[in-house]
Amino acid sequence: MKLLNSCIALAAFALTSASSDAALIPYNINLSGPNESPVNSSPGFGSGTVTFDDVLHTMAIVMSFTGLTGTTTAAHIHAATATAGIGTSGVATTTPSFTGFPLGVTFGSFNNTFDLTLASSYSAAYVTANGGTNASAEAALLAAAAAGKAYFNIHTSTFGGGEIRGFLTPVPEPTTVSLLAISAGLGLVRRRRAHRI
Amino acid sequence: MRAPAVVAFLLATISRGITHEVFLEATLSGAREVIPNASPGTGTALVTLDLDLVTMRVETAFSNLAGTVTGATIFGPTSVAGTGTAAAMSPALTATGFPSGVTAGTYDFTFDLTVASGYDPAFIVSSGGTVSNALNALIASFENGQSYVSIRTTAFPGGEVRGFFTQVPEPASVALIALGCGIGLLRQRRRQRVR
Repeated sequence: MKLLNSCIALAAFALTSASSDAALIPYNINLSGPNESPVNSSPGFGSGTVTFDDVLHTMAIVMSFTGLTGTTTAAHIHAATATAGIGTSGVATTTPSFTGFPLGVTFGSFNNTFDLTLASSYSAAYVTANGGTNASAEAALLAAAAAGKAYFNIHTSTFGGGEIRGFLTPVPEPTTVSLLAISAGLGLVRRRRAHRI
Repeated sequence: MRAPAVVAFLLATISRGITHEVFLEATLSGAREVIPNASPGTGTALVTLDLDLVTMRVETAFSNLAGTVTGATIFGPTSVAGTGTAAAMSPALTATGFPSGVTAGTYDFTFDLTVASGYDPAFIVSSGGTVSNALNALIASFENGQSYVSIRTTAFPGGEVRGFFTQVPEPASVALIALGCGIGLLRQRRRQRVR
């Protein structure tokens, strides 16, 4: 009976954690010159995550960059390109640059969460071009990210069009796998204990 | 003391705005040609560099030319801003709808600067060999006032009218400047009233 109870508890835990995960949509970004359009040979690079929460309606960005040849002049997420992974598109997020993004530097880090229910989280042109409301702009941005048509771009003094950029790519979901492993492990421990008794 | 702070804030806002889209204007005339001429022709050109889409929109209007158009091209960078000559940066504009065989007309075309076809092939080579090199050289040439557009005609095969591009503040910035001036004037008025 104890084993059954713990199994039920584990199942309940897995279910609740699964439903709370559904709100978070995480993406990786890997920024480089060769990822730019047009391609450049900048030695700079950057990486981080962009995580959308479709329940809280937020976009959390945690990223860092280094090795730029020019100093930063602006950073945005652009969307949506005509084809996934290539081409250019207009700015979707705050203009002239992300609030709090370090400007005038060749390396730095950025950590900010944007409220996607606010107009200030978007470029005005993006809202106009995507249904005219903040909600429709949010839906468009999430759809573009899911389709691989959104990229994080850093403009610098030497590369006005962008020195490094990276498309938002889905993060493989490790949580379910690790949860299964944990529950299997717990099950084994309980069996051992039961045997001892 | 507050007025300078307001101006500084406005300037900061404007310069940040310009990194996003760069607007450049040129007034074309015969007097501005390499070999100045007495052509009655006039023209204007507006270039918009979109650093997000990585495009260059060229809008031109011209009239009253002595000959009919045989070609039009954007050149740069000259060694000194506002004077001299340089090789072609843009492809021949007549290949993208610039009206030829006429003495007056308009043109509006947007070039994709992420691909080689957005430039004169020799400009890519002289800039370092890649499209990215050419893009950065083109932006610098425009921002430094070293670019010009010239219209060649049957009457003046070397160029009948031309004009150098100079950066213009974007419409939003102009509005901000106007707003800033307004605030400044109000403050002055208030001060005078207090006295």
